[in-house]
Amino acid sequence: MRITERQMLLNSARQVSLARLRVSKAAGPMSSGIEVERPSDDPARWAAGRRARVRTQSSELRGRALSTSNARLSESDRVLASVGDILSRARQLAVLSANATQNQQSRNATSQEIKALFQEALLSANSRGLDGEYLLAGTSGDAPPFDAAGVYQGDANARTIETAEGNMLEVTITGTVFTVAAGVDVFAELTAFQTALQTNDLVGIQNAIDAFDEGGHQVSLGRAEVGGLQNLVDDAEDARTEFELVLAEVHQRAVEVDPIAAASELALGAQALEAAQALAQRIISITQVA
Amino acid sequence: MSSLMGLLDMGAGAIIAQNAGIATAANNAANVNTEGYSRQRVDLRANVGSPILGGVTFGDPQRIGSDLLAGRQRIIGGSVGYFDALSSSLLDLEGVVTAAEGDIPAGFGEFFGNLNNVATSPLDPQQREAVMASARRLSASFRRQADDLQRSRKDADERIRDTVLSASSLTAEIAKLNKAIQLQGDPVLLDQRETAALKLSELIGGKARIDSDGHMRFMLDNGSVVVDGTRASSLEATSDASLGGMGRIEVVDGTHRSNITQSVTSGKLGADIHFRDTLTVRIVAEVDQLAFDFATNVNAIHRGFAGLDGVGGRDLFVEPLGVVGAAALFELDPTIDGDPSLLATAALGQPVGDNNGMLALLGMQDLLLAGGGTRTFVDESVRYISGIGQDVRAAVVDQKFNEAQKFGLDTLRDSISGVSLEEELNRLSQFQNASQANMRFVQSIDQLLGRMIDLL
Repeated sequence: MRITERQMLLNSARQVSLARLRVSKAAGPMSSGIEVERPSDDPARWAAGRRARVRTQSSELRGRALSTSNARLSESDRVLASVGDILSRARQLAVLSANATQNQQSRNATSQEIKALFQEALLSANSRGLDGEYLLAGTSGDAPPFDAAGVYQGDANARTIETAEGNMLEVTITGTVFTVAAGVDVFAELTAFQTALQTNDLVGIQNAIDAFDEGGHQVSLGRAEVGGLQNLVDDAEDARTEFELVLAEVHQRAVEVDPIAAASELALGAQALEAAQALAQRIISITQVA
Repeated sequence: MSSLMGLLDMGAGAIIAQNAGIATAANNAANVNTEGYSRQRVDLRANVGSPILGGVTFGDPQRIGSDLLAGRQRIIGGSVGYFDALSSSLLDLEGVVTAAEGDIPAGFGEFFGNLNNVATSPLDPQQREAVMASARRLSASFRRQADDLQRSRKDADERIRDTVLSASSLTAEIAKLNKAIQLQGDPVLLDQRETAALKLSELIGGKARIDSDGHMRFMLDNGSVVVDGTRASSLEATSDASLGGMGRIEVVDGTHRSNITQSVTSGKLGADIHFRDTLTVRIVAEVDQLAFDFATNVNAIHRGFAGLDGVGGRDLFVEPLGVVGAAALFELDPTIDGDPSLLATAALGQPVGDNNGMLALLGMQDLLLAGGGTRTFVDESVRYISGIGQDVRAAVVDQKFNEAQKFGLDTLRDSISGVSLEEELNRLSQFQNASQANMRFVQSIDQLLGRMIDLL
């Protein structure tokens, strides 16, 4: 085959150009760490990486939901603890008042304290969360769950959210924990105790001791339930973090560069470029001589 | 036996022939880097017999080329033009569908993620607004993709119109060169015609043949003749309502017009038509279908639940009238857009803090409601984008393959028609030496004649 100088020059220029392209293609991933940037780099790997990123995005937002739920449960626990303390104090007062040596005057004073404790318990039970919703109202969170008489106005519907892909979990506790549904009606018992104190009803006062014991127990059970839910939410959060690590790995495998392979490719490309440039120089010198 | 005068004539003729060789070699050397130039050769022929014995004559410079090879170059030119244009258009399109502003998969991820946050705090206006904001962004992504795809189609249409103009100018040029070649027979004109035909095939594909009268006849893939001897047809792009106002391509020969839009399958024109009328149409249909499926499914669920006012039956997105244009018209329902409290979070008849509406919408993310009931929304959005990636990849592979073939044919052409400086310098040297030898021969005859005249 007849080969002209022009063809030799064009061929060597083409080789240099191809080698440069190879080096540039190898250098990109080395500097960015990303091998599959566009779908056309590798459609299947790009799709896997993209899916992993979208799932990560959803998971991150799920993390906010878990964090909100955890905060709400902590607030609910604080409310339960506060009401528990109030019941404990009420029980102490009931024990004191049940003593026959107590007179009406001291029972009236105790009655005033119980009235204050009732208000304090009501205030706690009607607490709102950080989002402004009443914590213990069930799904009726736009209104106080307990009225002024301590009668529960909310519902028994706990709220469920997605804690992992396809996994749902109840993440709230309702005010029914203070009602007969859970044992005794805490607010009714406080009111009854107050009335017994005012009427010097020794039997009523003695009954209050048992009622406050029962109430304290049901509040403890409520707190245990909250604690259990918090544990589940924490577990869900741990699982979510683990899941994100897995997704990060999937994403990494899909789109990120294998540093050793990339470095070898870059070295080979650089070698090829050097050889092509040397050949081009040789051809240029030959054609110049001609 | 020749006379001395005859020998003098013979020597003079030889010098002229050698000088023609020198001129041809010099011309070749001067055009060593001229694109499309084919080297020329002067044939020197020995003369024998009556009336002149011996001597040398020369013909017109002959162009060294291969019509067969030129034909193959034109065919490959059509493929190179096609895949160059297609891969370039697809790469641009890939950039468009993966642009951050129009990222539909991320839009789905954000939308579904925020639904869970509202499910956690249905009464929190900030969470509700976050869902509305992600729904707005998703709507904007759909509209942006639809706009960008439409713009890509329009850009392709503009390229088609430009190509048609360039092609018409080339058909006219080839016809003009056919005429000039018939009249002058200059090899340079043949080079020009070959270059023009190659450019034309890169633009519109087709094939050419050289008729027995030396005229080039250029035909499109469907057999339409665009250059026939000294007659050239023009190509025109006329806006066509059935193509959405895009250009219909016609071959115009006098008063006769023939529509070739669907029959151009190679060259840059074929690629741009395929991109405009098939690829982007397919992708627009996929995005429209996705938008339609998403909006109708979300609305169907949303209507079954109530906002904070306890009222249900509202759409979250403007209900699409049909699949066509669903992405371009995708938007949040204006009633809800202005009032996030209307986001249907609760089951009908349930307290406002109920979150079953959000859970129902959230459940959609795992349901196979897209792609004809075969994929989730996220998977379908990822699939059509990676499908474009596959198209790009295939086009780039074909582009490289055809470029390699073109390079091979260019090399082959150069081995036949290319100028080698080394060869031309050798020829120059040969012709110069021969010319000098002839000069001496003439001088010797001249001296002999001089002596004879002196003797007389």
